[in-house]
Amino acid sequence: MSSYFKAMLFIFSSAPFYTKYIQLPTGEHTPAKIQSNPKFWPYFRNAIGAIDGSHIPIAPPAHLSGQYRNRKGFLSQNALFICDFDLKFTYTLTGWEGSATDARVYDDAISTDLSIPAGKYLLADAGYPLRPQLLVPYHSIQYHLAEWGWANVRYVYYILSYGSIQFNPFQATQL
Amino acid sequence: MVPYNLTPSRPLNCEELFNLCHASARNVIEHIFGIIKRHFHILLLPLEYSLEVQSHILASLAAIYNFIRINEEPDPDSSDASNEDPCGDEHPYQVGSSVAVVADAGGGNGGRDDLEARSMQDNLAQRMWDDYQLILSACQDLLDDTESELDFDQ
Repeated sequence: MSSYFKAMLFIFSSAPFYTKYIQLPTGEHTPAKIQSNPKFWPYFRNAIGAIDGSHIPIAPPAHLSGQYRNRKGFLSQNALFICDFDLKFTYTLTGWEGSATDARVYDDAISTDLSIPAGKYLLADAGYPLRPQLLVPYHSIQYHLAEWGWANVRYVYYILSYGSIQFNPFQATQL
Repeated sequence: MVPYNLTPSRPLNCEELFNLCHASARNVIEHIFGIIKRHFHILLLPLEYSLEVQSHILASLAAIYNFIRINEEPDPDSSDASNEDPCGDEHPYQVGSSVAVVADAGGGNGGRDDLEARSMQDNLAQRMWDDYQLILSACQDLLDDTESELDFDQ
């Protein structure tokens, strides 16, 4: 059973299956999601996707557990993913220790098999360095949370600013 | 922390506007992480295989996820909620809250690459800001027109 599991695993994670389904875009066509949204077009027309690292829990041998402990305190591997705007992965780099920073993993990727077409870039968060292939947000600037969370946070702010936890739904909705 | 009534409801300068638009475009990667972690529970509870196998599990799941995504029937519910445009008629780009980013992982190496990247960032932000001012003034004109019509009625 276990040997079949591993056999299938290596089939899925290597050519031809892996290379058929995970490919970096060539950047010839601007993604529809960018083109159709006035907030993104024409500013992000050269963006070919977004990049981020994710900590995935891992079970390393005991003598290596120090390296795999991440800044959040659990044992993980730091996996680098790139996806396009159609919600498909276009690149993965897995197996880095949880203690490695996103920037370190990115440097490893770019020095091995990650190649970004000339003139194109990826959207990255503030954990990544300034590079022509990465578009990062401004550091130390008010960084706006995306819109979906605002209702809850407004309520929290309401409590904080009035120093009271008495919840009056009518007042809260008027904020 | 700033009390709610002092937080700006609109971006105040080009850097803030840039960060806001950037965050909502970058949202796809957070979205895809959410999907894959919910889809494949093996990602939450690691199996005690060798490290090599464990890293291959991730790569295979990413490939399998793409395979499913490409071949599945289109699901009307899966169109992402973040697509909706926050630009209202009167308050384009209104946001409710903000947090300060203190992380500075860029390091201080001021090479040519950095300068190039910085100028690309600045150009984009300035362009966004200029367009945003145009939209705002257009909204203001619209409001003024409506008000003058009301005055006329009276």
